[in-house]
Amino acid sequence: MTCRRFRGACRAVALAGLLTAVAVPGAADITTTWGSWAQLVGEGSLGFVDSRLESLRLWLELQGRWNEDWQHFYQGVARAALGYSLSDRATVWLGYNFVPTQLEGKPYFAQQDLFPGFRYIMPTGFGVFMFRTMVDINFIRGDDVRYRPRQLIRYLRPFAFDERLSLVAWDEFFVRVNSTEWGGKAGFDQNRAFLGFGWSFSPELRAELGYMNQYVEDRDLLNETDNNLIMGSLFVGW
Amino acid sequence: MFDGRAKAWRQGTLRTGWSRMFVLLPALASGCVSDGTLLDENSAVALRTVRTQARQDLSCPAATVSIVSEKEVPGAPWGFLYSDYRVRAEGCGRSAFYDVECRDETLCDVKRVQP
Repeated sequence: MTCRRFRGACRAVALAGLLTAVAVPGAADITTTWGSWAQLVGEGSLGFVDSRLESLRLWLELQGRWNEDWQHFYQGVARAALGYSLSDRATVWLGYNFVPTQLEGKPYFAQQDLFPGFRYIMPTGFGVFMFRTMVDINFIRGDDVRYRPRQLIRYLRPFAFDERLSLVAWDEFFVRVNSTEWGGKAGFDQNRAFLGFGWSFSPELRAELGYMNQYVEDRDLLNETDNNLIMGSLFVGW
Repeated sequence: MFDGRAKAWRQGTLRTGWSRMFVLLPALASGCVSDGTLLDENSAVALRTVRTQARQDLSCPAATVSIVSEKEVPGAPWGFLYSDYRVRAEGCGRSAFYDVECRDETLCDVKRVQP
């Protein structure tokens, strides 16, 4: 067989084919856009209120999102969640999102979500992994509720030449469990992939900046949007 | 904050196949490393860092150090875990207590505290 003689080339062709198959599931239209997301995330123990609340955690988050080549502020996110630390590394969460949205040329709507979640932080000798599972319960319009689980895998590795600087990479994918009128057909919803750098000002304060690719399926699972985003984050712990 | 840049630091309902993955991934991850591992790994550098400082503070080259308490502490969200130790140093008739916070074996912050 030719492939036996040119094993490396065959593997490359097979891999390219596989990647193409994943990236382009059908003869779909892909719209490419540019924009930015900014977020401020705060989290800490409620032990400062009462020492008996040491295992309870509060997570507060604000986001602003721009699209149309940075010409249009289209979405905000306000998130609040209460967590319980099962251990120093594992936390269960119950939270709420408010997501006001104004897409260009479309009517304003505000989505509200409830979510249970679980997070696990796993330090290793070559960096820190974080796993976060959430099940978004989306209230978009009326009582047509969409269930959308999401899974985040995140990697953080400090550089040897300056311990305050770190490499940050993560991926989060979303799946629609059920079909709804406003939330679209059940199936793959979107994937977010990030690559960037973090800077630790202190153990309690870290900034991150990088590129995020958001690949979003439309409601009928026919066309996709490929959002290229510059994402900046500020993380505050207490 | 990082005092004098990194100086101080350097001293130291779901039925689908998808849903199974959502449940299994964190569960598998949580079974990989016990909470004690990070504390064990960082304790040596914490003690070494305190020993160096305590020998100066106590003016006692023979000062010895021991861990009084230890716990893991999360830092900024979505970030690192830190090992937090309370360490007692004693020697030459004197003693002192220190709080040591280590991110890993290369990065520890030491503060002398009241007992």
